[in-house]
Amino acid sequence: MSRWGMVIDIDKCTACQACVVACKVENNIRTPSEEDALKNRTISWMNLISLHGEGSEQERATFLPRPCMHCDNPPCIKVCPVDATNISAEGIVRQVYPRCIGCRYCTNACPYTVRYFNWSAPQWPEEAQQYLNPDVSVRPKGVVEKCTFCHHRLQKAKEKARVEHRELRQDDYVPACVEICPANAMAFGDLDDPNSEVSQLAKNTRAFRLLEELGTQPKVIYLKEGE
Amino acid sequence: MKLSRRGFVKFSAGSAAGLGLAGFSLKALSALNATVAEEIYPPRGPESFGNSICQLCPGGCGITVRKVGARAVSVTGNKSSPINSGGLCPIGVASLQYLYHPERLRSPLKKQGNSWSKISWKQAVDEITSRLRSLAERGESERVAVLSHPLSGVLKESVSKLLRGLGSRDLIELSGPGDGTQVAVRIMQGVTEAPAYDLASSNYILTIGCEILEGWTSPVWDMKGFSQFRGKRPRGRLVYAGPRQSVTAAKADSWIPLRPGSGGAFALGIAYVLISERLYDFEFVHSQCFGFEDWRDSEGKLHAGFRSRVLDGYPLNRVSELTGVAPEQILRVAREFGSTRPALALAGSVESVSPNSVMTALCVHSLNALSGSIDRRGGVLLQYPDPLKTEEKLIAEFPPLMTDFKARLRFGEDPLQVLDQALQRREPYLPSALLLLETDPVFDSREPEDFGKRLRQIPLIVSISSLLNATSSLADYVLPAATFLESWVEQPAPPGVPFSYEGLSAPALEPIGESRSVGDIVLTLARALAVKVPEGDYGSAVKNRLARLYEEKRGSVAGTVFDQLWQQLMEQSGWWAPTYETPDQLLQQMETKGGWWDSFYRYEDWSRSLRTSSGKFQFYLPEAEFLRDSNSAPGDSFYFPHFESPPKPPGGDAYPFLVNFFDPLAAKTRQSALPLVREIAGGQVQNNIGVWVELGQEDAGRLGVRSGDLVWVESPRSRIQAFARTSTSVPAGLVNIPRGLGGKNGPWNVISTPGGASLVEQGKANEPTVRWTETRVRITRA
Amino acid sequence: MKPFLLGLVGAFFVGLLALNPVLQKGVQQPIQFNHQAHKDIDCTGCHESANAQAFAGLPTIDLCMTCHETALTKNPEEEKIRILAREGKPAQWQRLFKQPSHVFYSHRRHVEIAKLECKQCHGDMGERTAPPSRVHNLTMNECIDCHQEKKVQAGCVDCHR
Repeated sequence: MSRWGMVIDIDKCTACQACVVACKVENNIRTPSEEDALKNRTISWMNLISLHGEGSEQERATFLPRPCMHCDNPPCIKVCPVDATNISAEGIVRQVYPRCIGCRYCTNACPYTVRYFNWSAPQWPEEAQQYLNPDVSVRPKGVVEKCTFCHHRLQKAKEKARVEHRELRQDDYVPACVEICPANAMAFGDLDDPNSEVSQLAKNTRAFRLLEELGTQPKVIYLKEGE
Repeated sequence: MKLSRRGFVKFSAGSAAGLGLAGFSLKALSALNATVAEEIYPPRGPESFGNSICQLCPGGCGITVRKVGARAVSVTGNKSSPINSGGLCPIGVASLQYLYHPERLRSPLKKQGNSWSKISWKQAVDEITSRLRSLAERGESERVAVLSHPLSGVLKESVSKLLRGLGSRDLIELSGPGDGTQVAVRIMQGVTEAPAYDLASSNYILTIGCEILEGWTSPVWDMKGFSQFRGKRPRGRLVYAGPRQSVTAAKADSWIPLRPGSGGAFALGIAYVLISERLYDFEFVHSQCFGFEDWRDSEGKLHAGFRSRVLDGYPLNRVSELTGVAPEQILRVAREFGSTRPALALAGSVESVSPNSVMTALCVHSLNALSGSIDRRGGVLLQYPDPLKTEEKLIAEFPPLMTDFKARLRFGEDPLQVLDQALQRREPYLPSALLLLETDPVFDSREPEDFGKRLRQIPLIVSISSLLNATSSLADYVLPAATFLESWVEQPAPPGVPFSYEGLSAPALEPIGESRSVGDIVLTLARALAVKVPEGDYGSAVKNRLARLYEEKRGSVAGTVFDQLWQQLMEQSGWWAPTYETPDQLLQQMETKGGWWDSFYRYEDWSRSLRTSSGKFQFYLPEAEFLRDSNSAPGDSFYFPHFESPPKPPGGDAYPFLVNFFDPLAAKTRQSALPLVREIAGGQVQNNIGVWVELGQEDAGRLGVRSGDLVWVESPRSRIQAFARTSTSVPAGLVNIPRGLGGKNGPWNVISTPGGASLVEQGKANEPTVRWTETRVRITRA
Repeated sequence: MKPFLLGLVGAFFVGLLALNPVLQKGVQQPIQFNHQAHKDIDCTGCHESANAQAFAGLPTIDLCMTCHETALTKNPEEEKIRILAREGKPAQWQRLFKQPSHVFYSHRRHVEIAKLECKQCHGDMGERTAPPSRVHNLTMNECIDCHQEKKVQAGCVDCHR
């Protein structure tokens, strides 16, 4: 069984946000109305967060592309009263929209703020509905949504591999953000496969995880800037 | 319970009512369900892929479109493109919002009074050409102007012929503010080829206000170069000097805050250390440069060279005063720069660093000569020219409409501002008709409303446009253009790449409505005016032109990274093994893979890269005479890279903040009306709507302004609303404002409200129209 | 008053159940297609993508015309094919099996990989002489029952998209 994870090399990342936009297009993420944007209700499964240095470090700023960490020990699933969110055998923290009752406990429990609530019904100009991806549902008002590591791509990749009577290969399944990255700063694969690019990179001395001390065991690994 | 008769009647009545209620409830429920849970259910269909080449900026990235049925549902990078090898920038990814924009035009429109009426293509072409013909009969057709983005290939040839058929030479190509570095390389090296900076192989990059990560040359090409620069060992070091903590500054190993407009002085301070500590490339400077040492001319007159002038004029204390950077810091950077090879110095564009971008770029480019990084791996290379000679030069002379203001372009000025001047003063004349090719100058102008009025003086405006945008709304006729995803695309080598390249792609989708490709519309108009243009439709004209690549007997069809390496290896060992045997095969392969390129590069080819009159790299620049104005330094000293302090901006105490303007990556698109692009414009400062202003923490505290507050930013000229973003990285007395990004009226709105650029003071005659570094503002809470 | 209330409440609930199917609109197909008459053709002959795509696909008039270019019977329903073809109009087939929009169901996965027979989910469709007038809304129970019976794993996101 694979354990899917991602490595993001901040040294190579150019903070261009192609990952942010590619995620929105792939996953039918709504464009916020002006009102929603002003209320900070913009939905962005992949988000660029910026950390600015303080004091003597004020000349430093760091940008982190931040998807869901797909923690091995996710705090969000423990608070869900209806089992609308749980973790799959392959380590993907999933969200079942029709089961979600919109209580937003998970949104509060997530220390990485990767969960978004749909405060309003999705609004797409009729013309723009043309580019919606049929592999992903359009979420209704009142449910929580989050990054899925583009699991629909995993379903399709597995199906394709089985039709072709072969094992799943490393490059069969990559999320949209990793696929688009113009700086090759992101890698994706099986953390349990010692030969995969991600598990090789995870051994790098520059590797760290966000808020590791909370015991969440994130499967998104960052490589910090520098040698 | 015993049921009485009366009870039974009651029961029956109750049952009837209950049944009715149940039916009503069901009806109501299903109606309610339909409105509340109105589900959007994207239809399925067979999946397929098609290639295209992104035209939302000049970068020329190859893209792959994923289709489900007839719908395009995602855009990714084409893995075979030598420019972006699979990656794509956020603007390219958002191109589906351009394709499926609610304002997409589906049929030709004619303005009647204040409303539009749909007309047929035939009627549109007949009416437009008959009006052009009557202009010709009255002898006014030589004042017909065409406004477009920079053109090339068949499209340029056709537009040129169309104009020449009318007796006009006014093809105005809007390229955005000129980059002073191009001019600097041209003067110092005597070349016309575009410079290409080899970021990937460089070990040290010093950028002086150059935003290499925010749409500098070809955005993805730059990002790939940066990624390789970072990924190799030893890892490349990047130092950024400039006023704002931009993305490039944040990604740099160190950021040196610089006083706005002092980039040239900083570069000369570095040169001072390189020269005084003998850290420059002796071999290159002494064998391939002119004007470094003092010399006697043919009349025996002694001239002081660059070395003496820098040593005399730019000691560290003085440079420190001019730039606000501590002498030790200049010394540290200079020593790193001088002791690492290859090292690159990059100058920024006009608005961020200097009132005279060209002079700043000359100062910065002299550092590249000092470190010997000219035409060498990891240094400043030159792009190999387009292999196909076309009749593009048909009307290459300067557009007569712009002649009176030609001088302004020397400042690296935006041609749009120059056009605005011409319209404002009706000098040298007012165009008799204007044809717009996929451009929206009203949106891009500093003052949309006023510029629109000035444009409207032109008696006939025809806009070929995919969207009913700010400019096409003003037109008399609008012809619906297909987007690049629905058209044949011919793409020349984009800025920044060293190799020659010809991109070709077939339409990835059927055009929406009655829209047609820009190329076909131009060909139709030209033929209706009996102008001789290439045969067939636009696609076959493009293919006919590109088929001539077969005769070149070099280069190869674009391929994956592996293919590219293989081709390079072959060519370097003197082999040429084409994958095609006929011109048709070549075209077919180009169409599948995205283009043709020739990866070959000959380094240190001085006969190509140093073509000044002396055949050397010139530190002595008599050609820079055109930059001189009334305030310039006298005599010889003007002919060397030097620094002149910018004039003190007007405004005084009433306007306490100096503005530093900048362009985020999201502002580099040719189609500003894409919600996804607007959403990320301020992502790095956590702003996802409208224009913002970056304020120092202390200044903000004094004004009682917090991050996210809406404020008025007011200059002596005008005022705009913006969201405040406070930061410790902004020095007191300075504010950073993006130039464009006006418009905050809903995500899909194509009509612009003025952005930061409208704050800028208009220059006097024979000066830059827009003095980007000299605007002062005051800020109040809105 | 009590009997009235009793009747009201009782009939309301009975009505909810009984009236629901009655009030639903029937499905009108463009042609009264006879599946049984086409029994000799493989399902994928007309539902062309059933083993290759997520969706099974409904036949186009062009496809029908490959056999029905000239009349094979005197059935007026058959004549409709040629009328539509002459007018250049598509056949507006109405879907009869529906799943909620948040479900990702792949025919290829079930037909090509799991080798399920069509009737497993579509019942006696192949035997019908006329199309049913009601839509069958597939439920999660139908999926889960079969998955449990056949001991096939069913993770949430294998189907929920």
